[in-house]
Amino acid sequence: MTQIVGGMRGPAGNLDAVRVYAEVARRSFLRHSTYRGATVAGAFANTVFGFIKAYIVLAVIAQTGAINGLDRTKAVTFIFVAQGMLMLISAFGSTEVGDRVKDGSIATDLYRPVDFSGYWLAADIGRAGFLAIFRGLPPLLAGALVFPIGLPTATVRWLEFVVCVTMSVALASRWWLIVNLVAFWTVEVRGIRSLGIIVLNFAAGILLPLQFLPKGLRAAAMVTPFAAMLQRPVDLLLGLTSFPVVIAWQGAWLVVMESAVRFELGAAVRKVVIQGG
Amino acid sequence: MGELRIAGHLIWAKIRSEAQYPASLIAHLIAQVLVLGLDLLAIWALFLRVHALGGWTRGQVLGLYAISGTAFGIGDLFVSAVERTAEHVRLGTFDRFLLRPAGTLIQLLANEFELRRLGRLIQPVVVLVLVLTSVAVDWTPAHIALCAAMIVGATTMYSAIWVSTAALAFWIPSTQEFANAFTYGGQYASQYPISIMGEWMRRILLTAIPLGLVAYVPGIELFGAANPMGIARWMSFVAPFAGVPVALAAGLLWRAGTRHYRSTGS
Repeated sequence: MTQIVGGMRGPAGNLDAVRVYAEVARRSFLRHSTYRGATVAGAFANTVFGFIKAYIVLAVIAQTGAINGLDRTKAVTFIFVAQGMLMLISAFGSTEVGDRVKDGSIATDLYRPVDFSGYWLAADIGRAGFLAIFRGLPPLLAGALVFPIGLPTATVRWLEFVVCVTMSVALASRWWLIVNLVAFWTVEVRGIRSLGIIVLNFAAGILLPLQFLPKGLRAAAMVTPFAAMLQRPVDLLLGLTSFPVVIAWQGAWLVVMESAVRFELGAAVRKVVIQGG
Repeated sequence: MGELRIAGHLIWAKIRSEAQYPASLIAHLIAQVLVLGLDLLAIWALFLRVHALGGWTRGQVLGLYAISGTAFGIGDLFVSAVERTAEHVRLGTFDRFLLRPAGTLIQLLANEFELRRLGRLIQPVVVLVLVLTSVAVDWTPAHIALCAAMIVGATTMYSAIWVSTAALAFWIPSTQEFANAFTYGGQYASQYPISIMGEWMRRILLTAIPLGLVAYVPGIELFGAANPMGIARWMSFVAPFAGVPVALAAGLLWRAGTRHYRSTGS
């Protein structure tokens, strides 16, 4: 079993693997591009929540002035960029892998001659590529119609942001793998997934930008991988932090989480029970 | 009446089947209470920085949150299952409801009833009890009636929004998230005084999707809260009934939808 999970090795294998991953990502992009109605509806919902959140936050800032560097413009920009990023990091949870464990089709995934974790990373990158354009931009554009939005003009900043968001997608992809693979032991992961969603929404800065939290709570949230998924990249876009800091946090957490995925998967396939018959 | 009895039997059967997996049920209830805890956490964090939002104190905002949350919780428990319409339309299984001699909506709701949705109700009810005993409310008979009218009115309103957005599935599939913007989005918006929203959004919340009428407007009177928009006092007593016309409209839309339904043909 572990041999299969290990995937392809050797120089020729590596090249093939890259091609396979690129193809997986491309197909994933195309697959998500077919859900047109759902994409429009989802972008609409993200935008509506963005408006409400923006008004709440503005009502506070109107009384206090800038909060930890977030003035009116920066706070509103934060909210609409964050609303656009929600789907990239599956802020409301991802069920795909858990469902596949539950119905047994995970066996097919384990048979594949590609690395399991790499396969899902490629699929998530492809999906995120589509969502970045069609779920990411609409809330921002709609927000800009009503509120003052301030985005950087320097190309370098945008390039850095794109790199960091790609890292966010990878981090979130690892996070939901860790959560969903628990299904190997419990079958039903709805409860654990709910907890995952709660922690993520709080610590990533989705509930409120972390600047709004009291000092201790903010500091605690900032060290989590969730802050590295959303809060830190958005801070970077707003010029509140620097690229090396963000990428260092993301890189460190990616190593930790990828190791966790591999450890968990290793343990799972040693005692694997495939559901169904 | 007969239909309600049948629905009651179906719901009871669903409860017993869910009770077969108590651990899963309890885990889900806890998760729901925690999810809603995030909303409270946000209110708490914001009020560490300001003393009032839209002139409303923390206690008053929590009162608004609790009443709107309780109503949403009741609606979620009994009516939110209407969200499943889209799936029944897509799979063609809506046929079954049309074949049986009972209302389609009541059959669907009873069939899809899930006790686990109780989770959305527990926390707001607890907050409601705590708030109503601690916030200064002048408990005259009129105010007791008003408080009850708010909960009933808001429940009616949320249920109507659920039914009408779900009915859209008869014409356009995959509109779930579109519906979420009105149901969950509406619930989010009505946790806070609408006076802090922009002019256009306030107007929507007072007319097209009048959630402001069942929560904020009567709340001004109940909590003796700030009224920066200068809403007439009598409005507070009339507004909770805004749910009735919206519910009637939702019923008509549902009926039109079921007539438009053509099954999947497979």
